[in-house]
Amino acid sequence: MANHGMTMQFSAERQRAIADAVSQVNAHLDALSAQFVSRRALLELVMLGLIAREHVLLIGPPGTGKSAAVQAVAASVDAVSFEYLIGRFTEPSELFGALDLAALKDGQVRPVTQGMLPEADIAFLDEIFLGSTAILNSLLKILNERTYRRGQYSMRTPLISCVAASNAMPEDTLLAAFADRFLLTMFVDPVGEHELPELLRSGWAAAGEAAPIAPVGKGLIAELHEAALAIDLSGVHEAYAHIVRKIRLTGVTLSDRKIVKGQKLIAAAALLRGASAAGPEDLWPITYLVQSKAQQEEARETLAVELRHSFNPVLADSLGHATYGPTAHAAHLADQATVLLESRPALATDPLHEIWLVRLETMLTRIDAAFDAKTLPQQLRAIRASLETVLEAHSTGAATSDAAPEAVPAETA
Amino acid sequence: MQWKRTDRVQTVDALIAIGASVVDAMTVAMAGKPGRFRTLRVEVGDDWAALFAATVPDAGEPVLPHLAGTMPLYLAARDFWLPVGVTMAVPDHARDPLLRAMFDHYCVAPPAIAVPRFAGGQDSTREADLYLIREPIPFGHFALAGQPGAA
Repeated sequence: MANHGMTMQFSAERQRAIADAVSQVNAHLDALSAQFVSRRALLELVMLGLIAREHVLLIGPPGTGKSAAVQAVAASVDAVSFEYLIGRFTEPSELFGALDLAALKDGQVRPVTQGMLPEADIAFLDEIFLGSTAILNSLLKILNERTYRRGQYSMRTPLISCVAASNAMPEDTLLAAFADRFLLTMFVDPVGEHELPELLRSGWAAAGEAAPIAPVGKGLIAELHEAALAIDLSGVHEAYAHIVRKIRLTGVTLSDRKIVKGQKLIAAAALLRGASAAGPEDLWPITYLVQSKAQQEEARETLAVELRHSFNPVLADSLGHATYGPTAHAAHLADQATVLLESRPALATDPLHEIWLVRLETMLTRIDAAFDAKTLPQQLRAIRASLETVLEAHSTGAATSDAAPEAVPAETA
Repeated sequence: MQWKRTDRVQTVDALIAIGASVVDAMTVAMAGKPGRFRTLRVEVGDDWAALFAATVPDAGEPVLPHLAGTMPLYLAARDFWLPVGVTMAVPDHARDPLLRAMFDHYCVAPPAIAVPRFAGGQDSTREADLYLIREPIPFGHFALAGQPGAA
């Protein structure tokens, strides 16, 4: 079947350039996520939004690092960013610029937009749903049409992506319709209890100065966007339609506009996977189209079979949020095992050394519970070998000197 | 109750050794493990033993040793463990009532472990062995009280 010129074969040189850009994005996400505990998925999703030129909504309680993570992404892209905490009494001029008084004297209504949202490439709006009707109406036009209008004044906005945050999804139907303009929705929870020590460590370290991260250029994002638009989606249309039908059957409302735009996410995911055509590996972003936490969870379960082939080496954590399958589990185990291996106490006589070994062995048990020799993913193979090497070296060395065990009480799991 | 295979992505909460030789091997292997592991609780049956993960001081997370031949389990419902990669083929909202009905039917009570029997390449089954947990004791006590094979 003809593709009507919508897809194209990348030249070898262009393929190399795209592969290089994808590597840069991956390295960039690595550097950013090192500064945040358990926020790699959020960072990935914001990056996916930038590449797809779509907007991202983050819903979660205060203090979960939403703002800090988004600020870090915005600061790490060489682009004009605009950030604002909206309140009930925020005036439109605080976001879009005050009127130019000199122009007004000449009878012209013209806002001074320099340094304001209409001239931003990336916008971060906290507490978005507290905005007045006037603010939300102007925003709607910017989000939908990339156009800012005030009276007779109109301008094209360079906005790549708007990331908005709120503590909860609005119950008001008008606000819900506004929220629907955000293609990607992520529900951000506080970090898990097992990650609290790492959160405290990193939070304390962040009290000092965070290491600067080399910014990625706006041009690179634009290049990836163009490349994503050239991805061949013909192989996934049927599967995508099936997934949409299945989600709608669970009572979730997915507008036609949203599912059409959802293809941009699938294309961007395929691109970041290193493919020139989308496959069943790339359908997972659809779960982020759902704007209810419970329904997102339901979608993950409902689509377990359809999304079982999901794979993405760059967006592994956001994929993990979307569908918790073996790929995401492997990525999760690999991350945890890597951190664990790197946290080796300097001295074998350190009392924490035995605990470290116990945790290594637990990690080995968890890896072997999930994968056998045939199914063990490549990324985990080397890590598992390292775990085994350390444990074997210790058991060989300890065999002659193992003392009687200490009696340490354990809390039942 | 119907059981089905699923992705092996659950967090391991326990290990079960089934068969006298596996229990013996587990007991021998445990003797060479760091002392912290020997504080974990174990339930011992006629020819099986189950070892439960627990948080030990300074570890910050539940720990379990690596024991060849044992089957990893996860906590599928309150006081109820299933093998990693196996789930109940029932909707979530029906899970607890069906489990209660199953226990009532066999006149037993949780905590318990169910190990479904999958014949050949089957992905689902209605058959399972039930292992009842009554008085798990620290593994160190078990090792002191009996020798390998005493289970």
